Amino acid sequence: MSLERGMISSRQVMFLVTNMIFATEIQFVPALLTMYAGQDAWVVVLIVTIVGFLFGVPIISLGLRFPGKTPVEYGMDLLGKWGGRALGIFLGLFFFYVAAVAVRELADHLVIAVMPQTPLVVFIALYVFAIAYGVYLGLEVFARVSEILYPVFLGTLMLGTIFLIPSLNLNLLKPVLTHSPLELLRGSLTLLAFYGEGLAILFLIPCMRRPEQAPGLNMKITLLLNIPLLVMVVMEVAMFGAMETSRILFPSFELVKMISVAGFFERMESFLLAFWVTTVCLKVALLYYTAMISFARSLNLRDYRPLVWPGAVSLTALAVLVFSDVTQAREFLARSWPLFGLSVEGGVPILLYSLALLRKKGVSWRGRQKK
Amino acid sequence: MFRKPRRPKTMEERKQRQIDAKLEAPHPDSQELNIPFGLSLDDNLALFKNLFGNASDLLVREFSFGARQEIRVALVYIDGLSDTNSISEAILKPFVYRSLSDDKSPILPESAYPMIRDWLITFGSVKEAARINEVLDYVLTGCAALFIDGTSQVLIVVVKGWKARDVEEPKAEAFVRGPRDSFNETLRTNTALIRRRIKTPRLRFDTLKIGRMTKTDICVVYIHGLTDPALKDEVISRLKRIDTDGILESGYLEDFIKDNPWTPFSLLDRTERPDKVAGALLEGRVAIVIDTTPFALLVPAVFSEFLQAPEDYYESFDYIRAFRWLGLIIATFLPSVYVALSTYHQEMIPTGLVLSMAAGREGVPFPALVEALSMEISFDFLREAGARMPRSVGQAVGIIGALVLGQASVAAGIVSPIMVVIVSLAAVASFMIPNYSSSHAIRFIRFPFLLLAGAFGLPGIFWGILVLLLHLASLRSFGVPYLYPVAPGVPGEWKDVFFKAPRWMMDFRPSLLRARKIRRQAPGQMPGPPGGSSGEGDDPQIVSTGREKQG
Repeated sequence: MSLERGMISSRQVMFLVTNMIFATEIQFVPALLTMYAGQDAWVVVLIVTIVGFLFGVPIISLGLRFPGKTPVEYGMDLLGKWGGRALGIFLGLFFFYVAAVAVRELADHLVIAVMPQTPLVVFIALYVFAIAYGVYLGLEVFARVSEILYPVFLGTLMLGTIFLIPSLNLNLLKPVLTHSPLELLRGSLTLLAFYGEGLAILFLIPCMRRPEQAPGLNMKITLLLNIPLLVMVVMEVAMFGAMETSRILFPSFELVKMISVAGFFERMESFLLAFWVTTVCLKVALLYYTAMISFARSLNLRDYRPLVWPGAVSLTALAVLVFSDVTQAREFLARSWPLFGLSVEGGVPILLYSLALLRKKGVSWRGRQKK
Repeated sequence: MFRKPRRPKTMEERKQRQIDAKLEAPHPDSQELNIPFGLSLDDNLALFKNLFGNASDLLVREFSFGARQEIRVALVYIDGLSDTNSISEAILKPFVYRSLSDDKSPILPESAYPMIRDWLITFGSVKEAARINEVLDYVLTGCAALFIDGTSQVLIVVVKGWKARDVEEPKAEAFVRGPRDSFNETLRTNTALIRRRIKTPRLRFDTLKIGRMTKTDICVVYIHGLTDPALKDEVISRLKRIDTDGILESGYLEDFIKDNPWTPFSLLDRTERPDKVAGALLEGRVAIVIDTTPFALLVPAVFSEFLQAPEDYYESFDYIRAFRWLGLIIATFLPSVYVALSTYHQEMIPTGLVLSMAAGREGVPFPALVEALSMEISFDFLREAGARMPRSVGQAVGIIGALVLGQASVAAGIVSPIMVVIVSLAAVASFMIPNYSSSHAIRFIRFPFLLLAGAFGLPGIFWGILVLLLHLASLRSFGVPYLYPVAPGVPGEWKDVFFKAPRWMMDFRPSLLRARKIRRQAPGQMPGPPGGSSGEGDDPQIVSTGREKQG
C-alpha cells in the first residue's frame, strides 16, 4: 500500500531548493560580495532578489510546460533522441561536478575550522556515505529530512544573530551606494551563479503532487533565500567592516563566533558549523539525485538506484581531486564559477524554453488552466 | 508400471516442498481428520480419547437417559476450559429431569438427537458439528461436546469459561487521570471493553485464526465507514500471510507485519488500555486484539505518537508534551554531546563550568568516551536487572546502583561526578517517553551516537542525526510516513504533536489515515461566556443535555 510514492509537496520543494542554494551561499557569498561591492553588498542582494525572481520565471514555466517529465525527457522531445541524451549526460555531469565541489567545501571547512588533524578524505567519505544513503532511499526521504532540518537550522541561525545586534556598528555600512553599477553587476553575477543552482527544481516539478503550486514557489524561495542572506551580509559588514569581511575565509563562521547568549552559550560556531554541514549534505543529496536521474534517464534505465553507490565512490574521488586547497576553491568560486555556472544554469533552460516556444511543444500552463 | 512422481523442477520448488513437508509433519489433525464420526458411540469416544492420548484434563462423562435409560450419551470437555456450573445446570440437569419425568414413553434412537438439540439443552449457544477436526477445535477452545449413540452428529455447547484475570488497572502504562480498566488475557473481555466505549453497530471485529498449534484468535477491530477500507484490507492480508506454529503475544505478530523489519523503531503502537484503543479507532486506525495477551496493537503508528500519553487528552492544560520532546533530545544526545564537548570543543563550555569539570575529571584514568560508554552500559545493566528481578531483589539492585555505581565509583576516582549527573539525567529523560517499547530504540541509538561523538565530535553527532533522520523518514507504518505530520509537514496537525490543543480545536481527524469522514466534531465549539440573559448571577439552572447517560 503506497500512499504517495515518489511524490513530494510544494512545501518540500521549497525547502529543498532554498536549502540547496542557501547552504553554500551563506558561507562564500558575503566574502565575494564585499570583495566586489564593499559595504554596498546588501544592495547586490536586493538586486539579485529581483533578478533571481525573474530568472526563476522561465525555469518554472518550462517545468510546467511538460507535466511529469524531467528535462532529459523533454530534451529528447525538443532536441531529438540523441540530442536529449547528450543534454542529459551534460546536465548530469554538471550537477555531479557541483556536488563534488560542495562536498569538498564542507570537508575543507570542517578540517580547517574544527579538526585540523583529520585527513580530508575521511570527512568526504563519511559525508558522501550519508548523502548516497539518502539518495538511495529516494527523493521523498531526503525531502522530508530537509523539511525538518532546514527550518531548524535557519531558525537557530537567525535566533543567534539576534544576540549580535548590540555589538554591531552600523556606521560601517556608510557611505551608501558609492560603488559603480559595474561593480554591483559583477557582484550580482557571482550571487546569481549560486542562485542558478535552483535549476534543479526542473527535476523536482515532475515529482510534485500539485505542480500547479509551482509558480507560487518562485516568490517564496526568493524571499526565504534573500532575507536571511541580507541579514547575514548586513551583520557581517556591520561587524567586521567591508574590507575585513572580504578577506576572511568564512565570514559567516566568524560572525557566529561572536554570538554570546547570557554569557553562557558562547563560541557556538562548532555547533552551527556541524549543523550547517548537514544542510550542505542535503544540498549535495539533491544535486547528486539530480545527476543520477539525468544519467539514468539518458541511459534509459528504469531506476537510478543501481548508479548510486558506484557514483558515490566517484563523487568521493572527484571531491578529493577537484581542488588542491581551499584558496583554489575560493578562486574558483570568485572567478570561474560565475561564468561557468551561469552559462549552464542560464543557457540550458533558455535553450529548452525557446525551443519549446518555437517548436510549439508542450502545453502552456495558462492554456491548461483555461481548459 | 508405476510412474514416478513428478520431480520438482526448480530449486525453489524443491525447497518449497521440503518446507511444506516439514511444516505438515507435526500437525496430524489438519487434513487427515477432516472426516465424519461413525455411528457407534464407543468407537467415537475411543477415537477421541486416543487422539488426546488419555490426557488427564480431557473429561468424558458417559450416561444414559430416557425412561428406560435407553439412550447413551457422552459429554466430553476439557477440565478448566469449560464452565462446570453451566455444564451441570444447562446440560446434565435437563437429562436427569427428563429421565425422572412422568413421560414413560421410550425415546427412539433416531429422534433422540433432534430432541436433545431442540428441547433438552437449556444453554444459549449450541452448535452442530460432524467432522472430527471441527469437534476437536470446539473442544479445545472450551466447548463441551455431546456425543449421542446412533448418530454421527455431535452437539457442541459453547460453555467456555476459564479462570481469567479480572479487569485490573493497567500494569505497564501508569497514569493519574483516566479510566482504570485494562485488557486481560481473554479476547471476549477485551472486545467487550472496546464495545462498551464505542456503541455503534459499525464497530466491527473481523476474526482470524493464526498459528498452526496455538490457533490463536486475532480480532481486527475497526469502525466501518470511518476507517480507510484499504488500510483494513492491508492489515488483514498481512495477517493472513503469517504461517507459523504459534502466536503467544502481540509481539509475534508485530515482527511479521512491520513495514520495515530492520529498524529498532517500533512501527506499531501497543497498549493495554481500552480507552487508548477506542481513541485510536475514532481517529480511523485499526486495532488488532489478540487472545491470550492483554496487549493490543494499533496501526498505523507514527513517531510523534510515542510521545503522547492518553492522559494528555484528559488533562485540559498540558505543557508536558513539549517537555517530552526536550526529554527525547536529552535522552538521545546529552551523553554524546558531553563527550563531544569535553573531547573536541572545550571552547563551547563556559569557563567556570569547564574548570569544575576539569576538577571532577582529575584523576579519572579513562577518556570521556570510555567513561560515558561504561556508565551507559552499566546503567542499562541496572535497568534490565531491576526489571527482571522479583520485586524484593529489585530493591537491592536499586541500592547497588545508587551506591556502587554512583557514589563509590566517583569516590574511587573511576568516574567523574559530572558524568554520573549526565548519564542519570539522560536516563531519567528516557523514562519520560510514555511508550516503553519505543523507548528501547531511543536507548539503543545512544551508543552509536556516543561512538560518533568520540570519533568526530559535534560534526559526528550531526552526521548521525542526518543518517538517523534519513532512516526515520524512510520508514512507513502501513503506508503512513513515520515522521508524519512533521515530515511530510502538515502544520495544521501540529496541534497534537508539539503541544496538545484544546479538544474544541481538534475538529479533524489526522488526514493521512485517510479516514472516510475527516471531520470529527462540529466546528466552533469554543466555550464562551454564557450568552443571553440566563447566565446572570447565582440563579441555579438545571441544564439538560437532552441525552440520557447509559450506565
